[in-house]
Amino acid sequence: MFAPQYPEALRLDIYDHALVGGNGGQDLTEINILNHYIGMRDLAVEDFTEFKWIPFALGALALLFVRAVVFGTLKEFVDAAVVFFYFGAFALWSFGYKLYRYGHDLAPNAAVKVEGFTPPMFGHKAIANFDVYSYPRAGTYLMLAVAGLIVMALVLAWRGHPDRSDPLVEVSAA
Amino acid sequence: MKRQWNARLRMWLALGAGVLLVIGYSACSPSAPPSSRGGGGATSDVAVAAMRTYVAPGDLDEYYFFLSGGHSGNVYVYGIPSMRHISTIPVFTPYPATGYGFDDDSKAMLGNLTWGDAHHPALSETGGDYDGRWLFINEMNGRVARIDLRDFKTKQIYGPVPNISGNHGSSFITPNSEYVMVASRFSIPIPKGTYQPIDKYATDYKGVIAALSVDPNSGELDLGFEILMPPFDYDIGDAGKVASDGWMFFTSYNTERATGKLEVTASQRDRDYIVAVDWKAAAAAAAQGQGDTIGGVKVLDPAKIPGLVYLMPCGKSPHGVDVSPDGKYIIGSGKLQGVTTAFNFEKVQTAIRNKDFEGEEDGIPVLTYESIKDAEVEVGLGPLHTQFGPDGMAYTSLFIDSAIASWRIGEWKVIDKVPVSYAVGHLAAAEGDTVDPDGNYLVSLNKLSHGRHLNVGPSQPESSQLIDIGEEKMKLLYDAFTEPEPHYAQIIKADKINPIEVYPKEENKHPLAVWDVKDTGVTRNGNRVTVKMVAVRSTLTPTSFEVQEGDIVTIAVTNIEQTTDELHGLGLLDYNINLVLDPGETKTATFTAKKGVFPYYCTNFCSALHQEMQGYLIVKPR
Repeated sequence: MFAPQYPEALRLDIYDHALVGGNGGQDLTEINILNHYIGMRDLAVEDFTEFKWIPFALGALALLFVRAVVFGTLKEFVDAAVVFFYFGAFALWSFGYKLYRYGHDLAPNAAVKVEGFTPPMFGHKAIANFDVYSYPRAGTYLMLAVAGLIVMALVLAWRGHPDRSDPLVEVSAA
Repeated sequence: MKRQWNARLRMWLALGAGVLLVIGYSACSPSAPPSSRGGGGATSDVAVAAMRTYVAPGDLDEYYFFLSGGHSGNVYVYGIPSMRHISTIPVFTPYPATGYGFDDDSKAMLGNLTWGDAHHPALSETGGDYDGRWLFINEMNGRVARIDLRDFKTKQIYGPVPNISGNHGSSFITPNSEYVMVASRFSIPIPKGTYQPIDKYATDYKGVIAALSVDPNSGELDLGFEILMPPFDYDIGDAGKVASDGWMFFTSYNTERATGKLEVTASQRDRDYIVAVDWKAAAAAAAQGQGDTIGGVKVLDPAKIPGLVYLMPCGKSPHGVDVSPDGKYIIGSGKLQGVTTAFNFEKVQTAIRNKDFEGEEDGIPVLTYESIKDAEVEVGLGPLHTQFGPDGMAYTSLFIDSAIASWRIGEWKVIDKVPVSYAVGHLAAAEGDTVDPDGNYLVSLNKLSHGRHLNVGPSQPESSQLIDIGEEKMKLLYDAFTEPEPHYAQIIKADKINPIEVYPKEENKHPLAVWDVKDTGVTRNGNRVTVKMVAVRSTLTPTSFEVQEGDIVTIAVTNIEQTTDELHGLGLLDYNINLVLDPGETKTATFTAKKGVFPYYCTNFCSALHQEMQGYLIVKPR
C-alpha cells in the first residue's frame, strides 16, 4: 500500500498460517490504526480460522497425492485432483469473502464514513490516498504449478491410455 | 557673435553637467539600491557555490554539523553542505518544542538552573577519531552534559563540578573518551563558599582543572580527578593525540593574576601560558590516593607532585590551542598578535627531561619558549583557533583580520586567505580536530553578521559561513544565520551516526508505561493520584478523569505508536505542563490539583483527527 505519507509503502503478507506486517510487524499495526478511522475492525490472526486448518488441509492433500502415486491408478489421482480443485476454489472464495466482510462491516459510528469496498485480491485499486496493490506470492504460484502438473498428468495419462482416440490428430486431419 | 554664443553654450553645458553630477551624487550615494549582497563583505562565485551546496529536495547531506548554541543553552544540528537547520537539541534550557524541561525527569535534570552558556561540543572518540556515540557539551555554571547520538537527546547533566568556577575550559575529550576535561575560567577561593577579599586574588584564589571520567559503555560522566592551579583564567583546551597521547593542553590568560579592568591589567605580559598536563600521570597519582580533599573531592597539587603540569610560554592572551592530527605539534596563538606558534611536542619532552626551565609559577616549571617552539607562522592579526585538513593543512581563524588563513605544517607559510563576514571566532573543519581530518568543508563561526540578511531589527543573528577547502584556494560557499551564539562546533561524516527512529516497545522499562488502552486509568494512594494514559491516533485515553483539589497528581503518558514520526503531545492548560512523546516513549508530569476543569490536548500535530485529541481534567473542590 503506497501513499504520499508512506513512500516506502505498508506491506502485509498473508501466509497459510499467519498475517505478517512489513517493517518487523509494524506495518500491520499501522494498517489497523489507519483502518480504525473508517471503522474497520482490526486485521487479527484470530479472525482467520483458515490459519488453523489450511496447513493441515495442505498436508492432507499431499497425502492424497502420495496415495495416488503409491497406488498408481488414475482413480486415486482423480480423487486427489478433485479435492485439490475444490480446496483451491474454496480458499480463494473464503479469502475474497473475508476481504469483502472487512471492507463492508464498517462500524456505523466511524469517524470517516466510506462506502463499503472490497480490497483488491489481485492487482491495483485506489482507496482514498492509498494505492493498494495485491499480488500472489510464492505459495499461490506453487498451488498454480500443482494445478498445472495435475492437468499435465491427466493429459499424459489420457494420451498414454490404450483406448484413447486422439482429438488433436482428428482435428488436424479434418 | 558666433564665439560669444559658443562661450555661452559651453558655460550652460558645464553648469548643466555640474548640476547633473550633484543630482546624481545625492540621488545615488546615500540610498544605494539594495543589492544581492546586502551587507557587503565577502563574496563567492555563485555558480561554484550553488553547485557545491545544493542538496536536492529529498537528498541527504554529507555531514552532521553540531553547533553550540552559546547562552541559548541548546545544540543546533545542521547539515553540510546545505547548511539547513535540521534539529535543535535542548541541553541546558527548557525547550517547549520537544517538551524538554517540562516533564519530571528533564526538569529534575535541569535542576534550578534554566540557562547555561554552552560552549564547546565534543564528539566521543575512539583512537582519536569520532565514533558517533555521544556528544558532550559544557556550560559556564560548571556543568557538562552528555547527548546520546542514538536518539539525539540529552541524557545527563553532570555538575556543577566541585571547585570549578566558570567552566569555559571544556568539554575537551581524550582520544579514547577516557576523560572529558574541564577548567575554571574564573579563579575563586576554594572550596566554594570560602571568603577571601579581592586583594588576596594572586595568592588565595585558585584555578582548577578537572577530569570527568566517561563510562566506556554508558557514557556516564563522573569525577575522575582535579588539579590545583594558580589563579589564571583557563580558557580552551585540546587533548594530545597519537605522539602526544596522555597529555592535555589548556590556554591560560591573566597570568598577571590581576583583578579589576582585566582588558588592561591582564594584557601587561607579553606571554601567557599553554598549560601542559600529563593526565595519565595525574590519573595514576589520583588512583594512588594522592591529593588533598577540597570541597569534598581529592585535588592534586602539582607543587607537591612534580611532573604533572608544565607551563609553555605562548603569545599574549592565547585563546585556542590545537593539537595537529599526528599529535606532534601544539598550535597556540596570542590573540592580539600577528603570528601563531607551532610548539614541537618532542621538544617539549626534551625540555622537561633537561629541566630547561625559564621560571616557575607556584612550583610549576615554565619551559623555555625558544627551546620548545618550532615556528611562528605569520597568519595575520588576531589568530584564535586552528583546525586541520589532510596532508598537513592547517586553518587558523583571524578575529581582527576577519579572515581565515590556510598554511601547511612543516612549511609554516600562509598558502591562502579568505575573508569572512565578520570577525570569526571559532572555526570547524570536517572532522578537523581528529587524527584523520576530512578536508572538504570548513565553517567559519562569525561573531557579527552586520546585515548580510533580511533586516530583523537590532538583535542580529550570528553568521556561520561554509567554506570549500577541497582545493588550496579556499572558496566561500554559503551564509547561514545561526542562533546565538555559536562557539565551537563539530562536523562528523553522516554515516558515522545511526540514530533510531522510534523507541522500541521492548526497551520501554518505564514503571508507569501502559501499552493498551484497556490498561489505562486512575489509581489513588491517599492524596497521591497516578494517571496512566495512552496516546495513539487520535485519542488520549482516558479522555477525562476526576481528582480532588489538593491531590498530587502524576500523569504518565505513553505514546504507543511504533511508527516513524508519529509524535504526540500532552498540553495541560493553566499548569505549565507540556509533554512531547516520541513513538514508544513514556513521560510523567506531576502537579498539585487546583479546583476547576482543565482541558488537555495533543500539542504535537499527529493525524487528520489531531484536533479531536483532547480531554478534561476535572478537579472536585474539597
